[in-house]
Amino acid sequence: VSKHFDEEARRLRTELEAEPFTPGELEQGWRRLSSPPRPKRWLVLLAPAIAIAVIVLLALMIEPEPEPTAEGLVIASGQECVHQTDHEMLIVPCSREVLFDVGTEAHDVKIRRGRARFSVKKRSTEPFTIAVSHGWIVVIGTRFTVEQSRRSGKIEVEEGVVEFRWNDGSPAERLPGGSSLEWPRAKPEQTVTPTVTAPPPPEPPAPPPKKKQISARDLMSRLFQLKSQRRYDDAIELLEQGRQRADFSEAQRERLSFELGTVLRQSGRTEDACKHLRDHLRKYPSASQKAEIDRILAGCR
Amino acid sequence: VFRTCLKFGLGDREWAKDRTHEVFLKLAERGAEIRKIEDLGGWLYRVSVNECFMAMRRSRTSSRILAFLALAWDRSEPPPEAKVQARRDLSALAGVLAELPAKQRAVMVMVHLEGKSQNEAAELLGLSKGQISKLHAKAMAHLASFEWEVAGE
Repeated sequence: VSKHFDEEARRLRTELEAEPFTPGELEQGWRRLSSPPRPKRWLVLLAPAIAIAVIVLLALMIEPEPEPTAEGLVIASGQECVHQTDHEMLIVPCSREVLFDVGTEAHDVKIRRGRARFSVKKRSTEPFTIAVSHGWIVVIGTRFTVEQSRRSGKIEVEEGVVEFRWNDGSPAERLPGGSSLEWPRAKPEQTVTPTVTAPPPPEPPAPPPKKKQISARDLMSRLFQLKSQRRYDDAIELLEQGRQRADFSEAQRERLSFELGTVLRQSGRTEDACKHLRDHLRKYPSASQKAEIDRILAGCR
Repeated sequence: VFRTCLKFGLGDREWAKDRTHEVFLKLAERGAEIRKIEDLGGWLYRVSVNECFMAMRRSRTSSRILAFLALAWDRSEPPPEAKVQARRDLSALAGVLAELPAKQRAVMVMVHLEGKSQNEAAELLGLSKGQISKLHAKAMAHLASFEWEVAGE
């Protein structure tokens, strides 16, 4: 092949100009012109890819509602995060959904504060219970929302049935789907809001669930946690309950009583703290923290 | 129209037929205004050059991606390598010109295969005379680098 550009260019031009446009090609060209326009090839090729991308995007955007595990408990939705300590649920604000699996051994939890929507699979064994400030919610397999504030709370049942057992000994109440119940009761005879439907036939009352008592060591650990979070009301409630525990020794109750005085003082309730510590000394004249108590009492009026 | 496009396509008949089809579609879109075109041959030639030049300027990368997708979509179409080989069979020069960037290739086609002056090429391709001169010089340097004997060497 010649490497002279001008010479080769002339040869190429001659060859290209001699290329025939055959009658068959001409006819094909006419047919193509008269046929409806074909969609753009790039569009045809990209359309399936775009469709797949849209489907994937939608699938990512629509998050499936979490299903309960075999023996677990699911926070189906909400704006709370759950921290589990022992068998207590501390629900604090956050921006994502949380799966709370209590495992196969646990059968009860306690909601201290917050709002959460639950979805609980029906259990063949012991029913799951959720302890709130004024009773227990016995879960039979359902979806419902629990809201617990400092002194009151509410349950809204979406579907299924739950049973609410008052901790003051009042008869248990069965709440079907669509009903709600608030605690504490405004009046003794108005325990259930008007949305509650007619109660089903009465069933033999089940014994209240066995509350798992935390050990003294765990109680103290929890106390320090609450104090570090400046949650003095919760700490006071914890100590009040602990002081009444018959299974604690006298020394343990004395220590809890002393701690109650210090927490009262830290919470700003100085007068209550002084009164409590004076009572403490009367009850425990040889208190092991006497020096510390005397120092505190010196600042009391 | 077909032969002009065949030169721009350096012997690729299918590409030239597609461009020819597009040119005649543009003509059909004019409808009754065709009669107002005084020099139909000249109009067709300008439209052909423009259509081929625009088709060449489309992104080389996207063309390769689409060619790959087209290959996956339609197995009956020959692979791009086969098309290049076909052009090389036609002429060694066509193979070298096919590797040039679109603008340089268009200038070389206009000047050396269509026999136009650089001024005419500038007018038809919508480029300035200075651009045409530079593009031509670059293309000739590219050919020289492949041991082609070009004028002025």
